[in-house]
Amino acid sequence: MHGTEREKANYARPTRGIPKTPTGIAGLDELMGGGLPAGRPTLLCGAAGCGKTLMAVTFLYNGATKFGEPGVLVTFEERLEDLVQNVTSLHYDLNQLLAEKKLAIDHVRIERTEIEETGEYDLEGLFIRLGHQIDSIGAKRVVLDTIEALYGGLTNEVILRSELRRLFEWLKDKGVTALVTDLSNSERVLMRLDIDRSTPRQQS
Amino acid sequence: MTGVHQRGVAPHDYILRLFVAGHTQRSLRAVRNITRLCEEHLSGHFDLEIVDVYQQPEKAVEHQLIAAPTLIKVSPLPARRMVGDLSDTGRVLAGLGLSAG
Repeated sequence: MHGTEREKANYARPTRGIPKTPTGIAGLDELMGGGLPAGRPTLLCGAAGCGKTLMAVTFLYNGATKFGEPGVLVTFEERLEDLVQNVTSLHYDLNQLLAEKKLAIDHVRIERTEIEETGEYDLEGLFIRLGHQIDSIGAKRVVLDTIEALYGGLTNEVILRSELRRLFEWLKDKGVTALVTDLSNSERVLMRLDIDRSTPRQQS
Repeated sequence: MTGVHQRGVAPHDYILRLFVAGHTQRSLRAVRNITRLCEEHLSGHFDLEIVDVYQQPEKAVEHQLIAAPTLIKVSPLPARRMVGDLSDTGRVLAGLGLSAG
């Protein structure tokens, strides 16, 4: 599906039955048996400043430039201009990818001070936005960076937890290969996604 | 679902936009709640636009929507966002800058 035959041979070696989507980051793809689980969401956790955003953007950049897979970047923190500038030193020309519709970027701003919670809600607004962006360029890859921001803006943990679970299912239904980043406090992350650690199961 | 209540809007009047996702019970509750509150507390001095973002997904991007339903008070300033079905009347009125009662 993606890339040339040579690249397929290099990256997409079938291992353990799960098809993989190459990140194009050579050492990483080797370690992961070809890349990220294709058509499924993967959670990427790490402390602030450890390079989550950089890895996520590289995943999208390589997808668009090497593997013919357009991507959507939902960024909760960095403004579009800042993002574009931050990766210019790596010779990533995001503006060109945007112009060629190989990349769509949606900066989701959450202003806690502006928000009042007045009853039942869900995150359908976010789902619709993301769906709209995916459909607009036929995206195969999606990055959400980082979901920690949702907790800064909304306070109802019960709703957020169930909606994050729904988001992962929804991404899977969409068939996109998704990379979702979060801070590294693993206890909290697992709580958020309602993953029971006593019975480990593969998120993918 | 793009009902607009327009009663000769003056510059000092309230401009409100309610974003809902489909015709769910929650959406309908939000519409009922805001319509009632507007009638009771703003006595015609308001412009309420209801947008179904399933019909107009680009509006979700344009207006920075995350949660649904979301009520945005565009005017008077400061702009406020109220997420949820607007059942908590006290909070809605506070968000609108209207004292309860």
